[in-house]
Amino acid sequence: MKRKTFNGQTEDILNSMDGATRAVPSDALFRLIEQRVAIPYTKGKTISLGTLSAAAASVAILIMLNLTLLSKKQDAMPSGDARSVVEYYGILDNGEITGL
Amino acid sequence: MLPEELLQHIAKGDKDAFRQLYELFKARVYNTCLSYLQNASDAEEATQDVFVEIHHAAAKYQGNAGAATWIYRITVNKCLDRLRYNNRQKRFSFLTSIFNRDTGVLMHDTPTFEHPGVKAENREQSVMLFQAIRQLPENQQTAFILKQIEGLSQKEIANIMGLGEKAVESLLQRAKANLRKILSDYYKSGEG
Repeated sequence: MKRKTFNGQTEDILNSMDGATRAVPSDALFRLIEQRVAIPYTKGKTISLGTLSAAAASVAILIMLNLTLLSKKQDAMPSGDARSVVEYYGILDNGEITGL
Repeated sequence: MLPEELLQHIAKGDKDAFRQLYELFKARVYNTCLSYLQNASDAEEATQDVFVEIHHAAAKYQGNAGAATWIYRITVNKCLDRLRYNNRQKRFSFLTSIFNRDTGVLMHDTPTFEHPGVKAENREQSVMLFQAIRQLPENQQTAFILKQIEGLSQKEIANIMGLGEKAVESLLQRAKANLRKILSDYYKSGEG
């Protein structure tokens, strides 16, 4: 019995727009449309999917090239440079910096 | 004058014909927009977009489809564009601020929608119906709105959507089945 009531309620909801009247826009709307129509029409330029894919591919290649170059440069960097600086300078217990 | 003739006159720059066509279709266009967007200001903006498009594209109207079909087609496309834009805004609101800086009110929150033309005794049910419609896929939404709210025939809907009548019938059945499921889930969550 409860099930039937629930189904009935669902059907009532589905049909709740039966007999409804159409909503009407405000009176001022046509004036706004006329104003927009008076402006010279320029349709937005569309970009084809091919152009968009080519641009995306170029950006991806650039990023990959940058990453490759960066990793190569990192490998080529002599690690001794960094160590020598650490070895040369030191901080004593009293906060003084040695090697300056 | 027939709408098809009005379109020919609009293409020649006849402002009076444009006004007549507007008067003839404003309620149909606005009501459809309101059913999709469920917000009066969004619906008015979409209605503007539709009539501006009609004005600019009148010269391209071939007469293969009736003027009403052509206008409904523009209306559906404009509404779906705006819905997609609104949904994108909602998605990106999590990346940007979701609260209005001035009022602190949650932005992109969809309030409950009451259609102004609904009968008083059906008001509560129609609020639930519109909440459920929002969750349907685009093509099911279109078929349901055009049939149940605009009261168009399956043949007219088929012409607007560029589908066969059988396909429209199937879309309507799926839309109703999904709405029943959404509403039953809603009831279950209310009971639990």
